[in-house]
Amino acid sequence: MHVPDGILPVSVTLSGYVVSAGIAWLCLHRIKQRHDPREDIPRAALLTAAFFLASLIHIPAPPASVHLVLNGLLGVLLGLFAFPAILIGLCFQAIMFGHGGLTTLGINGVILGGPALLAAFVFSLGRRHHINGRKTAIAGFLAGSSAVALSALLFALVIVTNLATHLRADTEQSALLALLLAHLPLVLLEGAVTALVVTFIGRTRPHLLKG
Amino acid sequence: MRGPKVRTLFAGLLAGMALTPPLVQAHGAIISRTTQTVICVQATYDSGQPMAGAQMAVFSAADPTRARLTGTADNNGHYCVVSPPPADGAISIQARLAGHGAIIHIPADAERGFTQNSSPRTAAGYNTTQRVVMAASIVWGCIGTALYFTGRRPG
Repeated sequence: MHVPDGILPVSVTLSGYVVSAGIAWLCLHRIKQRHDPREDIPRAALLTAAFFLASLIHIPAPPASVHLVLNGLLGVLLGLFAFPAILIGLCFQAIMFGHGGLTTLGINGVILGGPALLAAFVFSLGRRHHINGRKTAIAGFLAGSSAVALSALLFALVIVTNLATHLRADTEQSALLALLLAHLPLVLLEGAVTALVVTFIGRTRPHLLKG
Repeated sequence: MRGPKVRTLFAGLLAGMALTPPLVQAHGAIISRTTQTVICVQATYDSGQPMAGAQMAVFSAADPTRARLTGTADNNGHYCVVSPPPADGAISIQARLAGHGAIIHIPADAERGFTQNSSPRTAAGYNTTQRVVMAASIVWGCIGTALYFTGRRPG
């Protein structure tokens, strides 16, 4: 679900950087207004490592291979910290393993980081009146699965609207549809993982879910 | 009486030779030689899974915006170009499938039988040990950051 270098036109990659920088600035600005902005940095650092490692775990799903994303989990556990954490993780993935690209770092940040913020919002809505129990798990499942599903849709939308002229559109669209279908098990898996994690944290350290 | 018979026989022979297929007429053999450059690439995901049916495009270094050739990779992600244009210049071959893709730049003086990866940074360019060490270094950096800020937390 990472857009590699050389796929998108320069105008789109630059726009991705502009949008991504804007969202990152907004997140950091809101974080700085907190009483202790550094409070969540340890958690953000550890979850950045988890996000970085997750992309290395591939699940074969023809015609492509899908991998864990965990952007929903980051959104639920980090809130506003999720977007900069994902940007840092994407940067490491691109530099170390060529996963994604440096020119597409901005657009990948929007594709993966934007849904993470949405997941945080979905989870906060779901838990507004229910601190523990089954509804926490359901809210976690919805947040985790919706983040991956939205990321996959955004990825497909960006690709299909920026096809190069030498590519056969029908072939690429069919492949993208197959890729989206291949992500359905991942959507369920990430929803389940997020639900399990938030349930566990809700029982052991519920204050971590308040952010 | 012999004259017309001979003429008729001669004319019949000529007509028969004219109607005989060229393959039978030939007595000599000629082999013509054309030397062609064949460049074969294999497109795979960084997990090693082949990009079956990927759309392939060949670009020349002189005009990297316009594809000179297009084609489709086979089920194993293999794609071969015979005498890619321009034959005397560098080319780039791009593989695309479902939003994933890579491009390989092949210099004009590429060695025969030389194996080259699209990018030295791709995961395919590292062995498992190298990948583990690289991933561990990043993870340790994150853990170190977490420990540093945990230690500085007030109270």
